[in-house]
Amino acid sequence: MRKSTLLKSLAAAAVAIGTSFSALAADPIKIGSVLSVTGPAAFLGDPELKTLQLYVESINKAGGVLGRQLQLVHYDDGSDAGKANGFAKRLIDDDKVDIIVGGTTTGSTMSMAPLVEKAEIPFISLAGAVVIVEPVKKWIFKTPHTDRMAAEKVFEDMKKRGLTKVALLSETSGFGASGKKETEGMAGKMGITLVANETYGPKDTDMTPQLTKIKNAAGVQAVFVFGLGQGPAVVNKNYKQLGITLPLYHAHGVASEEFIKLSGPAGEGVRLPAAALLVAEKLAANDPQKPVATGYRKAYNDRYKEDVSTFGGHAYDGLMIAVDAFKRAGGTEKAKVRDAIEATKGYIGTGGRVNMSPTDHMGLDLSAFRMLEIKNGDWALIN
Amino acid sequence: MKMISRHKPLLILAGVLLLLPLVLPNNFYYDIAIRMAINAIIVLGLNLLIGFAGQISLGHAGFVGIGAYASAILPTHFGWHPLLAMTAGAAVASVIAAIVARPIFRLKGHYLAMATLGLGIIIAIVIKNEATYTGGPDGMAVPALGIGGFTINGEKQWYWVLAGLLLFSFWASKNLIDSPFGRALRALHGSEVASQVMGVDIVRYKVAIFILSAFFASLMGSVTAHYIGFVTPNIADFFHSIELVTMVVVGGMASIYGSLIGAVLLTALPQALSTFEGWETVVFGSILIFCMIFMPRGLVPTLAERFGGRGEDK
Amino acid sequence: MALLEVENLSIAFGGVKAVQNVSFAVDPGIVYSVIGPNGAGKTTLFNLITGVYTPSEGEIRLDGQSIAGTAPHELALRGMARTFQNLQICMNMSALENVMVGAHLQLDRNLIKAMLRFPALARRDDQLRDEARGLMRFVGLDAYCNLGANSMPYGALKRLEIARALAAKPRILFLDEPAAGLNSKETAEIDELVQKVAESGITVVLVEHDMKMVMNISDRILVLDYGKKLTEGTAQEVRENPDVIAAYLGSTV
Ligand SMILES: Nc1ncnc2c1ncn2[C@@H]1O[C@H](COP(=O)(O)OP(=O)(O)OP(=O)(O)O)[C@@H](O)[C@H]1O
Ligand SMILES: [Mg+2]
Repeated sequence: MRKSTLLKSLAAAAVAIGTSFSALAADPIKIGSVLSVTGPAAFLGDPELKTLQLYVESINKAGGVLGRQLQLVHYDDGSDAGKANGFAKRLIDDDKVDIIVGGTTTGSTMSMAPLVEKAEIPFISLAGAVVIVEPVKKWIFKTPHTDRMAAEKVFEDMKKRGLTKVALLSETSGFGASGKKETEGMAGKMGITLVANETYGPKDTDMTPQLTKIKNAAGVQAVFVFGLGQGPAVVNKNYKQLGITLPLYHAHGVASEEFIKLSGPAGEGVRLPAAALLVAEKLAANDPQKPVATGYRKAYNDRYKEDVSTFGGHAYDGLMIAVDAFKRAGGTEKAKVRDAIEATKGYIGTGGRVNMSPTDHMGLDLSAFRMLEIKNGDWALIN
Repeated sequence: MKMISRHKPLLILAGVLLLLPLVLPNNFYYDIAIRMAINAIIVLGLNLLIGFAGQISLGHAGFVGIGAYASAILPTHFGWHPLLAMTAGAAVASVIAAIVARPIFRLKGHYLAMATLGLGIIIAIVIKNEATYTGGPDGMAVPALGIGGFTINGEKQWYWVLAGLLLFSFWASKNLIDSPFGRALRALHGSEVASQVMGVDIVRYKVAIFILSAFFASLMGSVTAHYIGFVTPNIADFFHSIELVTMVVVGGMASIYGSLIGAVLLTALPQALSTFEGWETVVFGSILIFCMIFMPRGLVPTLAERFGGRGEDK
Repeated sequence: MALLEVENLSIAFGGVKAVQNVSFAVDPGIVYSVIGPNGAGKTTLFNLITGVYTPSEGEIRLDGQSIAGTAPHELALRGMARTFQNLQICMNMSALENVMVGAHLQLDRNLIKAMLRFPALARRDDQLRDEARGLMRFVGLDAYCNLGANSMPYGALKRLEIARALAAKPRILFLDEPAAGLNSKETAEIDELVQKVAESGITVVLVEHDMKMVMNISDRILVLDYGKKLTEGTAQEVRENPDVIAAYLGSTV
């Protein structure tokens, strides 16, 4: 008897507390996300998800946004763009999220694009290609640098060194193919002549034939490699084996500690453009990106005991831009939030300084990239 | 009376499709229903090949990819009418199927599995590499499907289109199974030598059903592309092929209803499991293993047997 | 003219000369039996004639035209049908459907028409279903019409093979040990059935170990031993042939 009355009163109390809580707390702000947490693009999607979870948590602990908690609703598309499209529908129609931050790959992003445009919901993509924001789509923004910027940054550095006759070696993957196209376009604009234009497969383990051709190309002054993963490290080794001494550049896709390790001594002297995040500790004390980059790096390291990647950084930037926009819009009304994102000015993130505009839904300029060189087995900043 | 009993399954399916919208709360659920229907139609065709004719294809997503990319590329780059592009895609898929199948089926043994595996992979690679036309791994947008001034738009319209297509496919599959052609097909699965001496040109029948299943896969690839409005090489990849075969096997080989159930379950399952936070693949795999251990013949045939009556599809 | 002529027919599997230099002729309308000890090459001979195997040497003529190496389904078109010693029933189908497959060549086999269920095709199919029931009755299987083949007993399946072969409306029917594994009552029934088939005008080529049955219904008998033709003649002639008695009957009689 006594026991059951006790239970009853406990239950009643629990219900009372529950209802009063939900009455007190405003509805959460729903942040939707579709990421490639598994599948071939998992190396991108995994740190992105971890970053979003980490910061949604810490923002909520600090009181949320506009007095409301953030709620992250995320799905894994398994690196399948067709699934991303379905999950986007779920976020929009079923979960009724206020904004979408995600889309790990360009394919996923582009398959979600028509849906978000139709549903008129702000969408900040974490994928690389220029097509996402060119032509500008009203509701779609992105945080990562483009391959075009990487090519421009590399050519800028080459010109400073008086190198204008360049050999391009690109991977036949999506990243490399898009990079090749943008590099060819950028070469014309910047007065660079491509004296050789070779490709290799993503799984190739010997690039000696291509490098031999490049070595023998008439007048070649420098080599630019556009690839991801293992390939570029193999290039470094073959390069040294063939005794090529021309300046060697890589694209931003290999900007990680792993690349230095894979290349070993053959990596010495190699240059590439990268976000400041990679060299957070080496940035000048007065560098505006220093606090952001070191802060994110530390938080991520502490929580997950693994190195940060620029990809997680893109998610960080996406979330922060969204949060900032909610604050300035004073709520979650979608049109206002969209306008606020488009009006983002001077946001300093892990990727650089972001100045959005109606004609630029990425808002990064070349200053976002730092030129790095591998020196004594570590990154060194080139000015 | 006989008419009604003959058409009873068709009427039931029509009823379900008609009433379903009453319980679909929003577009997301429509979307799932549409994807279920698309998969069901592909699986109906694939089950004719695998379950009824006893031939395995591990590269059917390749044909889905051909249809999808025909519908993406031909209207975008060459200004073709989407319906013409869809037809061309299905024709190309059929021709490729014929070219591959003819020499393979002359050999004894399960060479088709290897050949289709290779074929699927090759198609996926070509799609990935021909970036000028296909957009490479990033994929490309697909124009809307307009028919004489009317454009199919939004989940609700697509739902009715797919409901119609599914009803037709279901009806046609049932007809086929219960026809001289279908009997020959099942007979060659039962005994090749017996069907041969009864006059069944087994190579011709295997090739024909392979082409038919490729044709439907390609058509549904086109429909998928138009419906989603975007297509990436994933649609043609090996995993998608395996997914389709799994639907056949889980639903039940040589079972028309099994095809529907397999497609419905395996389309819904990943959505239902998405809350498992990174464990969905494990749970998904466990469910499949469980099914295969306790119901090796697939859901529908096993359950049909357990709850009286001898299956269907006779 | 003989309906079927076989001339110097040979086939070898590796070292085994399963059929060697066999010649014989079958006149239309008769019951022609092939006998011989186990492994004599009887089934192989059937497989050669019905196109399942291609002979390494020799000639097979149907209506005077060479058919050696022709595919089985083409021979079916020319009026050949057969049953199998080791059952070749389609267990994934019903009994009735097995019989209907026998009529395959008499039907509209168009894929598109089948999918859209053209009325003419559907009507013919319904008609065929009735015909198949008739055949099931003819071989004494009325009780099994609506059953799956996989739920029928062995003896019934033996007859089902015959019904299926008859559905093809053959001119010449090859029966490979139709009574094998059956008890004496069942064997007598098969005996009767074969006679009925023969009376209907179909030429029957029979392989059978049951000597009583063979001697009873055969117009002519071919004796094989180790792939070779031992002798050929009427029941009487065969029974009295000393070689046959020595090589084959000798051990049992
Ligand atoms: N496909 C084959 N491959 C290899 N050897 C074979 C093949 N078919 C038959 N043989 C061999 O050929 C010989 C004749 O076999 P066959 O089956 O024709 O004999 P049979 O007269 O029908 O015997 P039974 O009365 O036992 O049925 C046997 O030695 C058998 O092992
Ligand atoms: Mg035999």
